[in-house]
Amino acid sequence: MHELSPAERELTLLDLLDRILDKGVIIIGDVTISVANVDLVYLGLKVLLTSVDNAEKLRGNREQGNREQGNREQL
Amino acid sequence: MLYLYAITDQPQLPAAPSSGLLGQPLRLIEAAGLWAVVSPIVPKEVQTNAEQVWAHEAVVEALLARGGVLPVRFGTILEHEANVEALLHKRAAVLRSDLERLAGCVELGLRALLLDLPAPPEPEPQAAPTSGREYMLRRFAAEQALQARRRQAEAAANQLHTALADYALASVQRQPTGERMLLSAAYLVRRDAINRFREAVAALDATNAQMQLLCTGPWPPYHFVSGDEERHS
Repeated sequence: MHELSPAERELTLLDLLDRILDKGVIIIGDVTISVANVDLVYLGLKVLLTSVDNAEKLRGNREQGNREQGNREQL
Repeated sequence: MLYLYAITDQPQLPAAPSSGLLGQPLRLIEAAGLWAVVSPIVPKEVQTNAEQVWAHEAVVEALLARGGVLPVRFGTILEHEANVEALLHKRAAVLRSDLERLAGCVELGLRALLLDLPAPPEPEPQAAPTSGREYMLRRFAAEQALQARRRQAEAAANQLHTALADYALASVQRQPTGERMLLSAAYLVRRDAINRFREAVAALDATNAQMQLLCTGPWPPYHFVSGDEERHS
């Protein structure tokens, strides 16, 4: 998981968020202080993800990898 | 206050990382033959950002590399050690059976993305619609073609999911997000079957020109722990 392109890393982060914020052992009870904004953040992310075009980004990044490097050198 | 990362059957912490969120030292709390991995926390310092989320994940992955682990959802904080012990006692039967069921297993993620969506209809200067009606008909035809293509691709993605589920002990489909996403799924796979699963994905990817397959993981078995139905959503 450590030799990934930026787009693949981003997708991996999205996959992580889908798991860590939404799944796993869920503990609800009087003694639990769940961080209140986790659900809100996840909800917000889902809205964001819906508008993110992952396929295009991934393909774009693969094709534009060299060009971006060129651009960075100019900066 | 204690931040809870995971529940495990391992009586020892991994060598690394030795700290969790905000650099706080990890420790184990034992009860009912189970171990909870925790670190001290100030609740208001917990933020849902990439750094903290990866810090949580790093702890769980280190445990996963050594043995059985049940990942806990990000942001779970308990007040006292006694609360953690009570939790382990109360859920011991389910936690133990989950650890047994998931032993030696990891989760792999898969997304199927529709490729080459036709560009939205653009006004063609040389063949401008002669009427509003004609314009609308063109738009309608383009939309219909798009929908038909998408339905066909969705059917192919569902077949693909069925084929991959044969390589897994269990599988879960998630609601796809984004208009290009045809399939988002998680598969429970034995550790020694990861490569076989990835090869199956690569083979399917090569034969499906209309979609791109992206496989992530191995992940801790987030989608396959029990108790999700207890969630009040």
